[in-house]
Amino acid sequence: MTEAMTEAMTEAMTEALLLPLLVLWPLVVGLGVYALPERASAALQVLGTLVLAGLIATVFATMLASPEPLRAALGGWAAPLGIELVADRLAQAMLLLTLLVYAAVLLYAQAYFAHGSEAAQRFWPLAWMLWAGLNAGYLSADLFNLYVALELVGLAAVGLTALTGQSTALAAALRYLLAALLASNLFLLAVVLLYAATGSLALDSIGAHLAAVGTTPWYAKLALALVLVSLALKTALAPLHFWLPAAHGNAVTPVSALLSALVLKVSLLIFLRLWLEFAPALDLAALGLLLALLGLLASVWGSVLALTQRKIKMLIAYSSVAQVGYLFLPFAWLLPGGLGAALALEATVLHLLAHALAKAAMFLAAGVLVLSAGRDDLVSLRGAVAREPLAFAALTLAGVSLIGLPPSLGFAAKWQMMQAALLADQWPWLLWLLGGTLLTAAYVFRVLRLAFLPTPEAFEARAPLPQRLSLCALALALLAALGGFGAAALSDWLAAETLLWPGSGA
Amino acid sequence: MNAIDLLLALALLLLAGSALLARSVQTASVLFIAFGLLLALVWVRLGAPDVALAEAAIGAGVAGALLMLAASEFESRRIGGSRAAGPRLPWPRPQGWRPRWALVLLALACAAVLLLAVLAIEPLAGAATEAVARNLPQSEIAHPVTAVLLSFRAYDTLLEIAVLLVAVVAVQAAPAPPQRALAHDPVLARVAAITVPLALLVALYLLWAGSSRSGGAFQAGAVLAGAVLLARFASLPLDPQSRLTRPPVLALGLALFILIGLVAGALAGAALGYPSGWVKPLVLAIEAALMVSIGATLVALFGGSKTA
Amino acid sequence: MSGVSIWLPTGSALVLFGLLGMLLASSILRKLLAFNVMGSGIFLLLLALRPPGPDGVADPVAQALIITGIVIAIAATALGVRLARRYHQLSGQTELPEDRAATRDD
Repeated sequence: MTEAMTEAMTEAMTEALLLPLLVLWPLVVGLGVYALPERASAALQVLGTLVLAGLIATVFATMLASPEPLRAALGGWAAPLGIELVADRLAQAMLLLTLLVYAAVLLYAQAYFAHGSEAAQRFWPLAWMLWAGLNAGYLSADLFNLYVALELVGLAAVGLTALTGQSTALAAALRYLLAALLASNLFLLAVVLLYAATGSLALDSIGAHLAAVGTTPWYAKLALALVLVSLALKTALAPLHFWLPAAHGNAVTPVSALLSALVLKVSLLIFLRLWLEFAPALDLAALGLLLALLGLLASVWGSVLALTQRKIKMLIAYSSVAQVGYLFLPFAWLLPGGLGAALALEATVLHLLAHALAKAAMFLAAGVLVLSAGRDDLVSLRGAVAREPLAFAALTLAGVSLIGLPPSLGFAAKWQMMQAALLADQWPWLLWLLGGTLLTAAYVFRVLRLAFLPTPEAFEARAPLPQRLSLCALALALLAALGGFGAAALSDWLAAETLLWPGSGA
Repeated sequence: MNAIDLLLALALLLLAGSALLARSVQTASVLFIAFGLLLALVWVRLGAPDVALAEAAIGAGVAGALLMLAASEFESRRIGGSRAAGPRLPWPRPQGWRPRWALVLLALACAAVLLLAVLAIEPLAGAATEAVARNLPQSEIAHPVTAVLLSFRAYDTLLEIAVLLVAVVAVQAAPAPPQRALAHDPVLARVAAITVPLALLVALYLLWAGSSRSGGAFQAGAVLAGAVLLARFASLPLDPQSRLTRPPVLALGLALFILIGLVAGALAGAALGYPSGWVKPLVLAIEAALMVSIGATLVALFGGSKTA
Repeated sequence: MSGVSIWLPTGSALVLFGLLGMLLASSILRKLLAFNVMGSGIFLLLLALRPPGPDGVADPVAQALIITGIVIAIAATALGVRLARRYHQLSGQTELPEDRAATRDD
């Protein structure tokens, strides 16, 4: 008897230390690269990444058997007194995604920054602190703690945007900061309302309290509306996307990759969690439809603007505006008792993963091409196939996933979305999904086509770039382009029905 | 609702409004400091002395000083011949698509909805507050606010320190403009020679008091920062600023917090927990390290030191 | 019951002032100031919505949240002020391009 008890106790203890370490360890590494001399930095970061990979692997291993989430009550104080961390399948997927993207970006950045550059010295600690904030956002089950995590992510992201200290970077960072601060205040206001109404800050207490009260108080809707505006602003859902193009397009390449792949996603994830919490108590059908319509508009608007861009990175940034639209489409079907809810959830997750991998790969590849040409203009892409074949391959493969061609992860995501739409009997959306694919293809092909044109004669050859840069981009691009093969297994593993409300079937 | 509260509320709104509408940003900053100090008084009225201390030191003091410093820089570089008439409001019509009246109406509508919402909410004590009262003895910390900040919700505090550190690292991309060398003012030096050590004592007192009554690392750190900055402005021979704002000092608070959180946590069974009997010394150690780091961080955020 | 707390409409008004300031002000520093006013309003609402304990002391959880919020706000404000100072030093501007008034013609 006692053996089983001690086993259970050690298991609980491991969980209680394991989950917090996912946040505390990146902070430690960030502190290390900040306070220690530069020579130790590279080794520390390699060690840091490996340890974090080990931690995440442990989480996966522990949860392989059942989708029951891991929980950790910090300080030993259970909610609502203390703060709890919860690692469900959704959080795990995000943890793994972040690990993959970071591994590629950190390796890339090592070669990208000139040796001893001042900007690099700021990059490493900010990048690791950002990682800690992202993990904190994935794992937190406390409303106010989510606010703090969002602030950590936000300020780190602003710092990364301003990295070079040049005037354009500063302007972009200031605009981003002000938008983020407005969004944070709105989120905080929602937290205040919810805390006042329920007396608890635990995430899962919202649903319970709303259910217990009977008729849902109307100010719960106000809180949700505030959360929506706040997180839509942070995720750059049109028309609240004004801060994104300058921030992503003007930042240094590794930063653009991190911002577009990961920072945009954590706010979406938090919104998803809150949506799932509120949905049983409120009638969210109309709101879901509104989100889907905004998403549709965003994907058109972003794609059209992407077509008109003359600089590579700005084009990719506007592409993010369009792709974020797709992330909000499935909310139209993510309703309790709605057919296709599980499919819609799967579609969202697949699209999250697909866009993150593809967009990071695109930025990294574009960075190589910009370095090779010495300029950011699209026309300087001419002849890129011959000059930088690997980077071009990465760009192409990422484009495949972005457009949504099989066997990419992007295709799997769109496929799930179409199935969800069909199941919910809303086939007009299919037309839109196909149309969006064409628009995306238009701006992707615009970029790729230029690379096949011959290099202009006035082209000065530059020193050859380290292959590592292109390989990092290629690795992520391959994951995105071939990820469709694993999509079915991924969906099974995700077990979407367990994340949804009781009684929701596929 | 009594007359004092009504007066305070009206004064608060008046100060906020005039700060936002002031002609010059310098005036706005001064009004903002006054707003913050009055707000601290309101916190006392509402039974929150800890918040009052933090508001006065950080919310009014540091924030106001930051804004004032920047405002004076901007004013001094104003291009000569600025239109004396200037716009009546400090908000000239912006270019582009934002019609002001639509935003104003929207904001008014939202504020009205907000007011209705807060009036409709029934105040209930709530599970969290009751749990704090019940578990206070077990936390071995006498003061409830400190118990929440460093025991029950220590994770929030830890992340918040990380946020401060991120801000310090991020501002390195934007080195502060060199400060004009200040003329040595003997009166100021005299005053500072007395005030600075006094402020240090106050900081230490706040740190010590935090375990059993209002006080704590944040307030102490802010007072410490004030002392250091005063020493610099008064050109006291001791220049602690350059020594204080080095990365190891800035990182100390967070590093110690995490170290104790993990080691003591392992012993206690959960990260950020404390083994029984060790709570007081561990919390004091964390708070002391936090005080130094917070003070150093606030000084570094002001910038303009030789090493910044 | 002592009736409606006056701090509820006060807090709401501060949120309104701050929100308007953030949306309409042209200078970056004013927006940051407005951000702080808005935050103060939100904190005031929080405390006003929490009933005080039997000894007149306010809800310790709410107090802790507000202190945390004040520190986070100062971190953000300090970052914003520094970026604005550097931006001004490099470009001579105190406003973002989209906020500058249409060419002031004389």
